[in-house]
Amino acid sequence: MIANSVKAPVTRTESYNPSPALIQIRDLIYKTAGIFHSNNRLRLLEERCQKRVQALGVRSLRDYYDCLTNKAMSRGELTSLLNEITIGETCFFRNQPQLDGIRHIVLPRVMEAKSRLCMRHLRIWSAGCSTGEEPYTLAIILLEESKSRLKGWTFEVVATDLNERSLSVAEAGTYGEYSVRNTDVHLREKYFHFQNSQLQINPEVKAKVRFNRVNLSDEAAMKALHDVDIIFCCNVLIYFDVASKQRVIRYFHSSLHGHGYLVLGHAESLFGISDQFQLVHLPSSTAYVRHETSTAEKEALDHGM
Amino acid sequence: MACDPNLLRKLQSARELPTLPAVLMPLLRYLERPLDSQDMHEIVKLIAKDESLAARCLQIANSPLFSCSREVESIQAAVVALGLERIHQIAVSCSFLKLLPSMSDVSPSVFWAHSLGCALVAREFATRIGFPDPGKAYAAGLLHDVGIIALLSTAPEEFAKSLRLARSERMALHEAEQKELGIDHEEAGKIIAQVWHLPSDIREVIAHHHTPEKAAESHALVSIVGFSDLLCRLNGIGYGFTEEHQTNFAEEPAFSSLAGQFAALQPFDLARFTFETEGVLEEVRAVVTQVYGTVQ
Repeated sequence: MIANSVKAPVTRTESYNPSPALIQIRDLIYKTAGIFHSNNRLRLLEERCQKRVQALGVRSLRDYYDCLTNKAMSRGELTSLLNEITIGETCFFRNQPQLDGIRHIVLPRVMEAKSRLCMRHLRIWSAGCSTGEEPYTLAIILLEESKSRLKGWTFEVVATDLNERSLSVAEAGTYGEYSVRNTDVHLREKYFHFQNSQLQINPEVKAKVRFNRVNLSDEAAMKALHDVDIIFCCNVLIYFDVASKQRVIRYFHSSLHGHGYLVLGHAESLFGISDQFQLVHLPSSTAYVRHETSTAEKEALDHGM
Repeated sequence: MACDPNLLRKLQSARELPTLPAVLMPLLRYLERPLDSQDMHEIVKLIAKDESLAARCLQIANSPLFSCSREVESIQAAVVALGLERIHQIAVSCSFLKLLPSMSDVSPSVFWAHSLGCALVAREFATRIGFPDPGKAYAAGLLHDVGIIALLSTAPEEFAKSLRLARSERMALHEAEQKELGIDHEEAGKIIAQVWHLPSDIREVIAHHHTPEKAAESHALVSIVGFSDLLCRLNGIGYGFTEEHQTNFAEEPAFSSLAGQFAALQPFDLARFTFETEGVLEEVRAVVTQVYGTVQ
């Protein structure tokens, strides 16, 4: 008989049985915010819910689910929970498979489409850029490509956020070590320098990013952003209600070129929100491609409107 | 490139192919039954027939990942401790291990993880869209890549070359096989499936999972496995490397043809299904790590 002698401190995935209330919360978050927690992330979701359970002083996840569905407090509480979920997520090179997919698959496709239009300039938009890690990451990736794939091309990263404090942090471009925990050492050395024991982004990267304060619901401001090739909008739409999401998606659709891409955060979905974009799969990530004619537009055309 | 006639002869000669472990087919037939009609005693009897398989199941039941409060000493106790579902997976994994020859530059665990992942995703997808026989989808998912076993056994060097080509070009393995061998694992699988007398619907899955439009009879089953295969490869449970392409399932024959047959696919939340798959594949890694030590 094989003895059960070694008891290594291994995570016992088998013994974790999520409660029905947690599953209900998971489904509610997906339905209202559009972000999904797969089974391997449920434990993490539970920890985050427990923080809110404590903050509210409710007795159980079951009671917490009631708070999330109680009309009077649901929207505010959902926002608090989403803040818990996204807390500490921001860093340079946050989602490597997604960035690899953009760099090696999306970028060549966009460039091919652009070449057909005889254009050799790329415009990437980081919508909801927070403290700047995402747009600077994108600028670094494009700078890395500028001697090979992007030779002879120009590019810019437009970065917008509603929060002025976030924008001023972003414009300062000064970060702690924790922000670059996912960044390759050689990229760290190449694009950052130390200043007062903080990491300062190099002027070469800064020069490629243009920050603006934009409210995604502001039609005029959104319409001013056009000819965009790729929009990154990560962990932003989750805070919007369905009608606002749909409005923002419509603006994104008109801001993008015909070949344009919309990239959302990990496990974010547009299902049931819009048919103006079509889901595509990249290795270990997903993105949305612009649909030339949406069903709504087509119906309008069919009816001679 | 055309296929070397010697390789074809080798593939067609049953002597050159590995024999199917005796316990595997009864296990798979058993798996095809609906979960609620599965009987613990039958699976205990099946596993006990194969001593090395029984020992491995006990070892895994007692491993830290599944560690139970007290030592599991019998197969019956292992089934109780791990559950029928997990015992199936371990038993089929262990008997498959015997089929996969060891390779110099790739661990057999990679192929097994892909097959098990594909089986689980196929069963879930089949259930979700209302395909009448999800157990069949599971078995077909497990076996869809047996052509790789056939190629590994008859042309190990050349197969390793195609794997290297696929890895360096980040292309689909079956395309690299065509370039290096003049034959791919669909065609090789068709041959080994005949030698092994596998059921005709599973034979069709093996022969056409990359080209479901060619399936003559079991079109839905072939498409379900074809879709699941692609989704696993896109989600990091492929053949140990990343295939560099963008996939729009709405334009994939495996998916679009199913959409015409199953009302549940109109519309279908493919984004959510993809995110759910990440959780399933995480579990696959855990099981395979227990059986093989690692997924490389």
